[in-house]
Amino acid sequence: MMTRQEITEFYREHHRRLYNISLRILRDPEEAEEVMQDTLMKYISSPGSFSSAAQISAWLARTCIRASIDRLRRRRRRDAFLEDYADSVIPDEEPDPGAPLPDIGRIRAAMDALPEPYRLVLNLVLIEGLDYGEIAALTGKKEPTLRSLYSRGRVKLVALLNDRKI
Amino acid sequence: MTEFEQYIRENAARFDTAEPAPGHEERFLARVDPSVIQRPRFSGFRRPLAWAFALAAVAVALAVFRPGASHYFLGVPNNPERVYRSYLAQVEKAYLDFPWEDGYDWESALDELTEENVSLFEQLPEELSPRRQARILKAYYGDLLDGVKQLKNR
Repeated sequence: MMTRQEITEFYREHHRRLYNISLRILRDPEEAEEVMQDTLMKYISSPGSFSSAAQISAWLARTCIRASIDRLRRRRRRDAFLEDYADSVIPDEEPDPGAPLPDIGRIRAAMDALPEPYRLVLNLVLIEGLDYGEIAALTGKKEPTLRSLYSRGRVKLVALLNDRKI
Repeated sequence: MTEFEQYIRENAARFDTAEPAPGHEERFLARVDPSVIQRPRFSGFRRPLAWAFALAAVAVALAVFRPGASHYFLGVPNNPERVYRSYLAQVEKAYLDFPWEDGYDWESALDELTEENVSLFEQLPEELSPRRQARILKAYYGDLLDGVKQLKNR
């Protein structure tokens, strides 16, 4: 069990990261706050036995991602959607050779502008650092589908940045 | 992995810039179930601060103790957590029952009267028996609920 003071400090340490993880997936500030708080509440109610701060942080992130994806599922939009996007053909594209890398703010805005399935997979691979096996376990999707979504999402992201639409 | 992908991965923390809407911490703390909060432990009353803390809490409770105020908790067993939960439920009911349409700022008045930065429930030393703690809480929170009643009848 934790004291109220410990709970407050724990919340302050982790809330922002978890909120952003959920917000990137759900794009709804109210829902993201709920998921973030549910995740922290789950830990506080049953802290488990972790041997390091890194393990706690990883557990929190996975729990938050899983809860956010569950919410997406409940919106009943995504299942067919994922496969549809994975099947479409998009030519490969890379950032303009020699051009400086775009700043993080632009990349963030471009990722936010991507359609949901691409955004989800790109976020989980690039920002949360998950591998395809983990994402498959969280989403219930096959790895080839996820690889395809990632690859196409990356191309779309680069296209958005190259076109200066963002 | 391309240079572009590597660049994003290395800067992943810089994507965490958004903050929840103001008041998020208060909303969270309000959601925390009192039963998952560990009460402060004063190991054997050895530390002077612990003594002072415990005595102050008891003094406050005794100062406000009036047997009449306990009637808000009739039927509530002498269990500190049950008393505190009953108090929270009665405050919540007061928020719902107040005549909000009359122009008076009931919400602020109720906030000022009933909100505690650290609740007395969490402050009472464990060295006191649960029964004693419950009786102190009934007296203290009963007094606050008396105040709520007076506000309502103002």
